[in-house]
Order: sequence, then structure tokens, then C-alpha cells
Amino acid sequence: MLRPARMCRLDCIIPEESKSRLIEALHKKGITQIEFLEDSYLEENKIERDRPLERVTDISKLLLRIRKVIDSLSKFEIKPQANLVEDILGVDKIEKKKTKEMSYKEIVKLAESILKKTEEFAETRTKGMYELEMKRSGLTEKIKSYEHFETLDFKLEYTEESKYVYTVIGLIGGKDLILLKDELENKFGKEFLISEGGIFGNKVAVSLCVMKDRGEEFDSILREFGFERMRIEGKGRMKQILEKLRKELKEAGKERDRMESELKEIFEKYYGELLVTEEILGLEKDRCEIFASCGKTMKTVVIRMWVPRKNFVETEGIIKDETNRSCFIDYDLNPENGPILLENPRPLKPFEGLTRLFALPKYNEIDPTIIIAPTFCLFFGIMLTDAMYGLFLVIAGLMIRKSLGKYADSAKSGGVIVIGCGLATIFFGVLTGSYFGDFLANDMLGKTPQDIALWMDPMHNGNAMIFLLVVCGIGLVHLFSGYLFGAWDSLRRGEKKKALTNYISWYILLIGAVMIILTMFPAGNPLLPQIFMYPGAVIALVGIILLFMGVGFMIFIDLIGIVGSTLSYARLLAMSLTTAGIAVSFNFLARMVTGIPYVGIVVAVIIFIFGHLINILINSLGAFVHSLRLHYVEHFGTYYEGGGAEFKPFKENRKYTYV
Amino acid sequence: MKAREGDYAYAYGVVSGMTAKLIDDKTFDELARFRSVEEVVAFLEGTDYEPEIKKVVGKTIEIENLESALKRHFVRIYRSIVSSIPESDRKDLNRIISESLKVENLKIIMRGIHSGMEPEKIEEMLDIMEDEELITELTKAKSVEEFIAGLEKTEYHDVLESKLPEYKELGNLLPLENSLDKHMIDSWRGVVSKDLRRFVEIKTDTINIRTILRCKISDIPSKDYIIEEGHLKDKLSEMERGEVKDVLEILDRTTYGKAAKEAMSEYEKTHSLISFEKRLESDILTFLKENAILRPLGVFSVMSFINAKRREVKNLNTVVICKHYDVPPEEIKEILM
Amino acid sequence: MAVEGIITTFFSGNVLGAVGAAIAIAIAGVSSARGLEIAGNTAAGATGENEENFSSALILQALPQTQVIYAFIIGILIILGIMGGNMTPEKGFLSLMAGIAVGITGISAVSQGKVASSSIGATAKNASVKGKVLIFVVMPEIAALFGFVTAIMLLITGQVF
Repeated sequence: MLRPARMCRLDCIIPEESKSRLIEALHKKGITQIEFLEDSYLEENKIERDRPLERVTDISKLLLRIRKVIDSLSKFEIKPQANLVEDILGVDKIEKKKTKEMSYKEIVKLAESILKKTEEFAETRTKGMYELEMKRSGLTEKIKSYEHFETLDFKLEYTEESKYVYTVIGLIGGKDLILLKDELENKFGKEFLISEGGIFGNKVAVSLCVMKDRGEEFDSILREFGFERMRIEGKGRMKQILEKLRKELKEAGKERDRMESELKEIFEKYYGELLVTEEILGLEKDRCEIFASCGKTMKTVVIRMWVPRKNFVETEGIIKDETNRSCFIDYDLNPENGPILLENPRPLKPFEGLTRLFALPKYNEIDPTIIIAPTFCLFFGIMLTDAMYGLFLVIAGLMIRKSLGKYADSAKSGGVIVIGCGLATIFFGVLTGSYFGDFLANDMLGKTPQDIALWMDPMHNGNAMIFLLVVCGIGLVHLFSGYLFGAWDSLRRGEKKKALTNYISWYILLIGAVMIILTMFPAGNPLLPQIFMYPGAVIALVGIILLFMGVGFMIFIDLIGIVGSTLSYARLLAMSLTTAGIAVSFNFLARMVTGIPYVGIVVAVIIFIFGHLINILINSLGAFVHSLRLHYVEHFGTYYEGGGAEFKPFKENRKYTYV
Repeated sequence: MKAREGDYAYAYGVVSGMTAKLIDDKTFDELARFRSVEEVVAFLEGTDYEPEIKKVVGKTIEIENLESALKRHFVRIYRSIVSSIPESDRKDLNRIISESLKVENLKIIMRGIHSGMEPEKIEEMLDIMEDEELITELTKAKSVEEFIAGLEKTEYHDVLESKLPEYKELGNLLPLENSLDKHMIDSWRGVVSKDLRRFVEIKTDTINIRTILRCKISDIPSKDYIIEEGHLKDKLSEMERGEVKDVLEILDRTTYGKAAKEAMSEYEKTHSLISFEKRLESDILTFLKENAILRPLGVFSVMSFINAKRREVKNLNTVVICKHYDVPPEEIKEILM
Repeated sequence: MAVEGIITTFFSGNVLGAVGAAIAIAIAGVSSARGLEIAGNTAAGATGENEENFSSALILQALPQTQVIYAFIIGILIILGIMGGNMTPEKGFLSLMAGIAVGITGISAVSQGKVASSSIGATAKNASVKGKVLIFVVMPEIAALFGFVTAIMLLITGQVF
């Protein structure tokens, strides 16, 4: 609880033949971390690096194929919309399927059978749908451009050159059309026909006709006036052609929809199986690839693993079993360093996330979770300060734990933290007489929060200064407790000198300083007689000298730092005032509105509900962030370093299955 | 409107996030040890490359498709980064980077043709490019003249053609390469941000140093090829007149001193102009990296990352091709950048 | 007479105090907002690339809020002084200066925002430094801290509240 879990390091040398079995057993048990052997280690011991099992190539091929099928079907997946809370906590609502243990051959058979049922089908349908889509967009474009000629009544096979006439269809700008007509009248007199159709943007669709022998002259005139020729193939009138195209479009659409519903059938029949198969293949792949972390000689394999001391015997047993006792294990039960696995009693476990957020402790360092858990909730409570808000949080926490806790551990822990903070908030709400701000006091009891507060209301006259002193006092205690933990940690590690010069010296300095201060305050009637000033000064000096021995010239920064850090705790007061201030404002607003006839009450209730809801949300976020900040910056600054690497066990990652 | 420092905050966040996802050297070692291309592809499916890889996976995997998927990935990442930087710098940065890549590729092709390389070999050395068709066509040119003619429709044609007689006379590619460089620096005039202007100056200086030293090595007068700009502007005539050792001495008093010296000793050892130039260019990359650390909220973080991403894509390309031809892991590690 | 009236009104303790409180919260507020903006942009970019960056980015981004909190406290203390009823011009002037002290040092929030932004980027690149960079981000706050202490000392000396 006070330190990360004790670890053991095992270096195992096992025969090549048993490596697969052993890794499979370890993977399933999931309590060991297999360390990646560095190149330097391999060189020193003159061993080579092992390679992934050969069958990983086939597994990878199967995996790629399955993923492709999953991908083409995934669009039918209806993902339930995660709400904001679920999103933040990262919860995936998935029901797991039961499977059984399978050998490699069985897994391959399973994969191939499901691929046989789905792969080709999915591929042809997907490709088919894509091609039909392309066809449809091509047809749509064609239809769009032909539509404007629909009203022109002519037969397409007569365009271009026929026996006597030369027909042309195309687009021309409105203004140009008028000029063209003039020019044609000039050059051709009455020997031409022009028909106008629909309007296409700012152009007009026209069809023109002249005597065949004057075709070239005609062409050059058309070019002059920016005539955009359309060449359309086919027979029959425009109308018929368009009908035909439209029919084609509809049929392509139907065909595409048919293919999609076929795909959907496959989705409904096999999607779950596909996901399960993918997961199983993935697990198998992990087992093949882990060997790249290991070393090998001609006939043996070298594996280095970490395991919590409490699991040591079990692990040793597994290794001996799977290798038929032909193994050599070199173990270190008391390593100096190791991966970090936090070990805390159940009520504290949810708060490990807060420690992890900053940094995991080093192997031989103190695990600050037991300290963070209570003080985090405490500070949160001081900053949110409202009994009703606290109640809201407790209920919310319980609900989160119950509903989302089923799916994810993070939701469970999150719920507990919210409950803890809620309780602290209720406590401080009662102390300061805050129940929805001044609602209970003012509107329901006809008094002020100061009257119903068990202690005092910071908003009330003159209380702010007292509150400020109290809060800074809490800060000072919090900081100095850090020195206490630092001293304890150092002593435990046998660093007696460091404990004295870096941590205990602060307490000596504190005693001296307090003595001096008490001979001066309260002004006029000091608590200690003058004579205590000199011993006080001496003690303080001793403290400073010891501290100097510990940290050298950093002492100046540290002394300023302590003053700064203490004042930083003033934000506890500020945040509590903001919560109270906003609550009071919304109450005031709601109160004002009740004056309005008929709707007044309704509007007031709406303002009340929304105002306090917003207040809870915004100030909870602020309280959360600033409480964390006080721990990470001010508190940890006195004794905690962190920097350990997390214990990552080699275990199965099952999302869709369980055994 | 010039961009303020704070405006790069978003781009910096994006680039930092992407940096975390870059494939590190240790992972490349692992990739080198994978047994097959399929394994590499399965690995890439779990990374940022997924959208592009997805499209080329089928019953079999074609190597050309895979290579183009990698290139498309780079283009996508590049575009998303450029769209995240302040608007005032977007066009400028785009111009700088795309011109750099184009000119580099053109030079590689020219050198390949000049030394009689096979078109496939030339193609292998090329960088990520946009005008794939044109570039591929150009690698097939039989002579430098044909190459220049092939560029008829582009902006490079005229500047190259004017230097063609000089190239024929000297038998040295320097005039042509230099004209490409000059054209590139010209196209970068008028960049708005101070940082980018500084970058252009440093690039100009590097080109000048390269030109002068190359001229001295090949015994060509360097006067026509110098770009009269950059930080070294005042020292240019002095450097022109002296010998190689004088040039190095003058440069010693500048930030380029070390790089120039090392580049020259590289050349003396290997007599390869390519490694000589690489050493000078690596100075620019170091400049970008260092400035990205000094002032993270600026364009250099972005440029530094783009270079790192380019390097990653090139390395992945190498791994994929080597796996396809069953090259042993130790050799692959040698080739990786 | 009218001019005297105006001067007495505008230079009364209450008015001077109010100006002090307003200046404090105004300048510090805008600075904090700008600092949070810069850090927030980087946080958005980093989280967009990798959701795991969210929590550490959030905490780093919130740090430039300290300045407005300090200004808020000073503002409240001044207002309590005004509410107390005996705000002489002298006390009002001290309050005004206190407000200026904490307000202008509050501009350090902008710089702190830039440091926070760089730290978010560093954490995005290398998650193990997220505790250490916290120290960097807290450094610019020292200026605001001194401003806060000076302001409080001014208010205490003047017995404003």
C-alpha cells in the first residue's frame, strides 16, 4: 500500500521445443511481463535474438483477409451513440461471446471456414456496388446535360450529316445566340433552321440545320460565336434516349440496392463470428511475435520476465510444467528496480488513476495514492462547497458505478472518485450553510447562510480573512506533510543523512520560525514572552544550515517556493467563493422573475435548474483540475519524483470473447 | 497579416501528437526482422497508415500498390499539417516544400541520365512526388537534352535550356543544377514570415557554399553561378577568389564552418559528390530541429516534423521492398536512414 | 462647487477601490483567457491526434488560470472593504494600487500559456515527462505570485478589510 508491489525477475533458459507451449500458458495466465532483451545484453552474453514463429506469416495473411471483409461490412454496424460521460470514461458497450480454447490448426480451420463463407461474396458485392455507383454517377451526369435538349424535336440519327442537310446541336450563350441568328440570316438567308430548347445555366440549347454543301462555312461561323457542340450518339428522339437512360439509372440503382441488402444479410449472419475470429487470430499473432523479445542459442531460448512476488511460486510452477522440468531459472527475489504495479486496498484503488496521471512512483519510492485519496476529495469539497451539489455528485457517482461500471473498470473507479468528492462537498456545504447557494437559507428558512452554517459562511462580512488564513494553514500542513513523507521514505531506504538535511530540517526551521512569530503576534499581547525569540532564532538557523547542507544554494528558491506554494492554496477560497457567487446570482435572478404574473414561477424554476446545473458542471471541472494541480505542483514538489515504468503483463486482450 | 507566435499553438499540438506516432528506430529494427511483407502490412494496419493500407489489401498484395499507398499517406499527413498552420504562412510553406522536392527529384533524374543509369534504378532513388506520370516519363529519357525537352510544358524548361550549351561545353552538370537552384530560390521570394525568410537565406547560403566548393573541385570559374543573397552575401567574392582551404577558413568564422569542413573531408575520402552534398544538407535539418526546440510555437516545428515523416515513409518503403525480395534483416538495417 | 463635488465623488475611497478591483480582474482575466487560448489550441491539436493526451493536456492547460484567481481574491477583498463602509480615500488609493499590482502581473498568464503549450507538445511526444514539465509551466507564475503578495500586503497595511 505504501510502496508499489514487490517484483521478482526471472531469467529462464528453456529448450526450443517447449517455447510455444510455455508462451501459450503464460499468455493465458497473464501475470508475467516479458521483457524485451536489449541488443547490448545479447551481445554481452553472446546469444542471438530469436525471431517470430514461422507461422506468423500465414496468420498475418489470414488476419489481413478477415480485416478486409470486416471492413466492407462495418458500415452496417449500428454503434450506439455514446453520451458525454461514457465518452470521457472511454466505455465501449460490448457483450462478450463465449469461446473455447483452440489449437493453432483449429484456429486456422476456423478462419478459413469463415473466410470461405464470406470473403468472395463480400468482395464481389463491394466491388459490384462500387462499379454500379460509378455507372450511376456517369449516367446522372449524362442525363443532366441531355435534359436540356429534351424539348428539341429531332431524330438523332439525322444529326451531323444526312442526305441533304447538316444538323448540329449544342449550347450557346443567350447574347451570342442573337448575334448568331443575325449572322446566319446574313449569310444563309432563309436556308437554315434553328430550334431552341431548354436553358442550361446562361446558355441555350439549340439545334441548327443547313444545306449539306454549306457545312464547312457553317462550322466556322458557329466557332466564331462560341458555339459548344454536343455530340450525342444514338438513334431516335432525345426524349426516347433520355427515357432509356433514366430507366438504366433506375435499374442500376435497384441492382445496387439488391447487392447492399445481400451484404447486409452476410453482415447479420457472420459479423459477430468475424470479429471473434479476428480477435483469436490476433491473440495467436501476439504469441508468435513475442519471441522477438527473447534471445536464443542453437537449442535453447532465453526469456526474461517480471512477476509480482506473490505470483512467483505459481509462475515457477508453470514454467516447470510446460518444459517438463528441463529448464533453468535464475531468479532475483529482491531486485533494486522493476516495473511498477500499484498495490492498494480496494477503497483506495480507484484513486490510483490520479497517481498514474502524474507519474508512477519509482520502484523504491513511496506510493502517494493513500495521501492523494483523502486530500483530493477534501480540496474538491472545499472548492465546490454546497451540500446539495455534493448530494447530486454522490447520486451521479452511484449511478455511473452501477450502469457503466459493468463495462469498464475506469467507469467503476471514476464513480468512486465522484462519490468521494461528493461526500466531501456535502460536508463543507453543511459547514458553510450552502444548500443551492443561499436558497435554503434565504428562500426557505428566511435566514442567511451564516445563520445555518455549522461553522461560517465565507461570503459574510469579515469571514473572508479568517477563511483565507485557514486555507493557507491547510496548505502549510499539506506541504509539510509532504516533508514528513519524504523523511519517512528516505529513512526507509537507509538514507539517514538525506532525511535529516532535506526534510527534517524544514520542521526544525518551522519550529524556530513559529517561536519567533509567536513572540510578536498578536500585537500588543504576544503568546510567548520576548525571551523566546533568541532560542527561536537559533533553532531556525540550525534548520537553515541543515537545509543548506542538503540542497545547497537552491535553498533560496525553496524558501521562496514554500511561501509561494502556501499562497497558492488561496485558490481554495477563491473557487469556493465563485461557486457561492454564481449560485447566489442565479437564486437572485430566479427570485426576481417570480414577480412576473402567471409564468413567473415556471421561468424561475427553469432558471434555477439550469443555473445550478451549469454551476455544478463548470465548478466541478475547476475543482477537479485545481485540486489535482495543488497535488501535482505544490504537494509533490516537496518529496515525490516518480518516473517508474508500468508493469505491462503479457496477457490476452479480449474484447469480444471470453473463455 | 503576419502570424503571431500564439497562432502556431494548434499546429504545434497536431505535430507533437503526430511525432509520438512516428515509428522509432527500435520498431524499425523489429520490422526488419519480420518474416514477410504480410506481417509488415498487418503491423501497419494498426497504425496511422490504416486508411491507405486498407485500400490495397486483397487476396494478394502488390508491391507497387503498397508503395503508392505509402506515398498517399504522406500526402494526406502533409496536407493536414499545412491546413493547421496560420493561413498567412500556408502558401509560402507549401511553395517551399513542394519546390524543394521537385527540384531534388529533377536533379536525381538528371544525374542518373548523365551517368547512364537504367530508368528503373533512377526511379528507385526518387523522393515522394506529385507529378508521377511526368517524372516517370522523364526517367526514360536517353540524354540530358531529351530530358530538358520533356520538361517543355513546365516552368523549368527555359532556365535549363539556356544553360544547355554550357553543360555541353564543360561536360559537367553544374550549370544545369545551379539554374534549377536559382529558379527555386527565385520562386521563394516574398515569403511573409520572418522564420521562413531566415530559412530561405540559409538555404541560399548552403547552395552558394556547395556551388563554390564544387566549382573549385572541378576547376570551373564560379562567378556566374553564385546567388547574390543570403547571410554570406558579403563574403562571396572573397570566397570566389581563394582556394578550397581559403574558403574553409572564411567559413570557419560562420555557422557553416563545421559542416563545410566535414563535407570536404567526406569528399576527399570518398570522392563522391553525393555524400558531400548530403553532409551540407544535413546541416539544414539540424538547424530546423534545433530551432524547433528553441521556439516550439513556430514554423520550424512543422518543417522539422515533415522531414521526419518523409524519412519514415522512405524507410518503410525500403523495408517493404526488401521484404518482398527477401533481403536479410542485417542488410536492411544498413540501408535504413 | 460642482467641480469639487465631482472630484470628491471620483476620488472617494469607494470609487478608487472599485477601479482597483475592476482593473485587477479585467487585465488578469483577459491575460488568463489568452494564456488558456494558446495552451488550449495545442491541447486540441494534441488530443485530436491521440486521445490519450487528453487528461495531461487538460491539467497543463488549466495552469494559466491562477492569475485570474489571484485577481479575483484581491477584488473580493477590496469589495468587502467597500461593503464594510469606511473606505477613506487613502484606503481607496491603496486598494487601487493593489488592483494594479495583481492585474498587471497577471499578464504573466500569457507567457505561462505559451510555456503550457510547449509542455503539452512535449508530453504528447514523450508521455513520461508529463510530471516534469509541470515545473516549467509553474515558473512564470512566480511573477503573479509576487504581485498577489504585494497586493495583499497593501490591503493589510491599509486595513482595507
